[in-house]
Amino acid sequence: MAHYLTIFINSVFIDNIALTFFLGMCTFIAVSKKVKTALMLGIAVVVVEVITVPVNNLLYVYLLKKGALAWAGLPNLDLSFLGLICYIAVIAAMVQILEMALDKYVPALYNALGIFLPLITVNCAILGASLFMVERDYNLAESTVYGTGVGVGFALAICLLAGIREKLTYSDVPKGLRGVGITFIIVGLMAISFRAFSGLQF
Amino acid sequence: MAKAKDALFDPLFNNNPIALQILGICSALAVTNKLSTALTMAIAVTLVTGFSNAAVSVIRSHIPSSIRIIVQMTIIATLVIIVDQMLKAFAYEMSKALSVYVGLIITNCIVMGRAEAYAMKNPVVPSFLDGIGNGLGYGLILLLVGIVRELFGSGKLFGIVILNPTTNGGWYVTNGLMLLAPSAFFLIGFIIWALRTWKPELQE
Amino acid sequence: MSNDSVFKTFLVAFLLCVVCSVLVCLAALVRIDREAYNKQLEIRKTVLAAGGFQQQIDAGEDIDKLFTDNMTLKLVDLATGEFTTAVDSATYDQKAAVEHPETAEKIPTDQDLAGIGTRAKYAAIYQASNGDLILPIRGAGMWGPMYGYIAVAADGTTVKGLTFYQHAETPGLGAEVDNPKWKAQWAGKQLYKGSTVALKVVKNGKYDPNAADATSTIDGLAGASVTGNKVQAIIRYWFGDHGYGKFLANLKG
Repeated sequence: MAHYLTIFINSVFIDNIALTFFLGMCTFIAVSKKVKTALMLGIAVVVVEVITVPVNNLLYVYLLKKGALAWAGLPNLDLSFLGLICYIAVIAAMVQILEMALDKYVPALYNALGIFLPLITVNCAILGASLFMVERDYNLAESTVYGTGVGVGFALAICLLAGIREKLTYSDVPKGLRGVGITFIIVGLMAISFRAFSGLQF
Repeated sequence: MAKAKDALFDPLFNNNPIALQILGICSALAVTNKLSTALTMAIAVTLVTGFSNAAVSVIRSHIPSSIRIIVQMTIIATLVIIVDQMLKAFAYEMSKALSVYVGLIITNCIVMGRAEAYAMKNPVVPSFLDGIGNGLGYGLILLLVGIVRELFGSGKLFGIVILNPTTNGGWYVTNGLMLLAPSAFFLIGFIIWALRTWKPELQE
Repeated sequence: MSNDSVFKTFLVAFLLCVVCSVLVCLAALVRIDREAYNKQLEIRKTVLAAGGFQQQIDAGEDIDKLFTDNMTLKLVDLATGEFTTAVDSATYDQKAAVEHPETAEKIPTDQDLAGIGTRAKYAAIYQASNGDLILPIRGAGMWGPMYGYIAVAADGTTVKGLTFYQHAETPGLGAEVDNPKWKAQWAGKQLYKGSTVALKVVKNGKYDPNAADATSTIDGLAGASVTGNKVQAIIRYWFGDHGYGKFLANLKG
């Protein structure tokens, strides 16, 4: 149990996908003007991460990994170079299915998420989580926990940033720095503060 | 000719993908703590953007609109896998240093964005140049950030000692912050500030 | 023909898939061809660096020649501490062996200082022409696993050198394990005091050259005490009874 907790805490705080790996930055900066929309996007990311990381894990372990096709008489086949194209296809498909399912069964949530759901397909935080899962050799349970953690971490970071940016409206920022410029610097400061978590040990 | 020139050079300053369109920052900043990785990444992205634009443009009149996104995605993913495999084959140490970030070029919004916004509507040559130009605009920022981070972070450029650091018995006390992720955000923030002071019409 | 007709949609999708898969496969074939050699070269470089051949590598000498001239691959059964020929050393893959229950062994929790859980039954070590042993070590670092080689003299206790070839330590702090100046201080240190592992990594600046145990003490890295502790734990595990302890004891006896 402690092991899973460590993976979770690690992925939320220490290895925060947005603030230490710079992933999902385009959306991170573009959709962080208001806390409400940021929260919506955050929830969408959590849902997609929780589904895609374990699915990609299964795909990797039972199809792509070296020796994964041993049951089919191909013990030396290593298909991991097809990983990228498979993961992105899974992500695109999952997002599409999720969109249809939400539309049918939870229309309220579907309408609230709106444009953010399809946008997530090209969010590198999603693909990044799958690639890191492969690189770190997680098993199914670990990758589920990891996916959740990454999603929660992203949601947390984007809500915090949106909160700061809402307050920023009242500040007197130099002209050239207004908008994106100051946002980058704020993200930098946030990233430094998140590094303080690196002392956490279990 | 003038159009081709614009397609190539406009993205460098007037419409820089990173500093102005805020695209493609995702996968790139983690690779700028060394100039050599930043340069490799810049070349990889430039090639992928250029050729994906060209390829999409070649078949643009035959792409059914219903599978448009998937067609573009497949072309991009193919190019990225080729780049990734070539790096693994001929620049093994570099591919290890770049780890997953080469693969993440697939979701680099610049590539997808240019394919959708430019290559779908324009002939092959301008599309190719537009892709190369956007790749270069992206590479320019990457290299600027890379130079500052490696020089002040470890006193080196391309691994050659410029400012001899104290850990090697020299005089330069390295700035550890420069090697960590947050410094890249500050540097890009300042680059945007400088660019918008130079060209005030770009201010928000 | 209309672009949006079902037939054309499938046709375009099909042709695209064929072209793309041919390209991807060609690229993969080139990579597979070169990758095995690249990996081997990396291991050879690390082994040579740990074994004290860094100068020759920097001078640009032919790595493969240097390696075949100076190093012999041998397998050690860690449980008995004897050389073994139970499996073919040329095809043995220690990293892959860790994954399979029949070729790996669980490490008791109280002995698992390096935090790795299991280790392979056999270790692929290199014996240099002057008798030095270059032993593979691995363990948990601060951010991820660390893999490396440590060279030990024929007396089984004097360190000749240490090199990590894979780690994810903080750049500028823990990643300074790659700093040649830091690695240089390992040469000549004593692993054992009597029969217990004595080597330790202290906090940066706490190293006292006049202390009684100075010959078994490594000055840590500035700002990276966690990495230092992890390296110490890795050494303590691998040179304990569950690691190379028995093998080195046999060697001495």
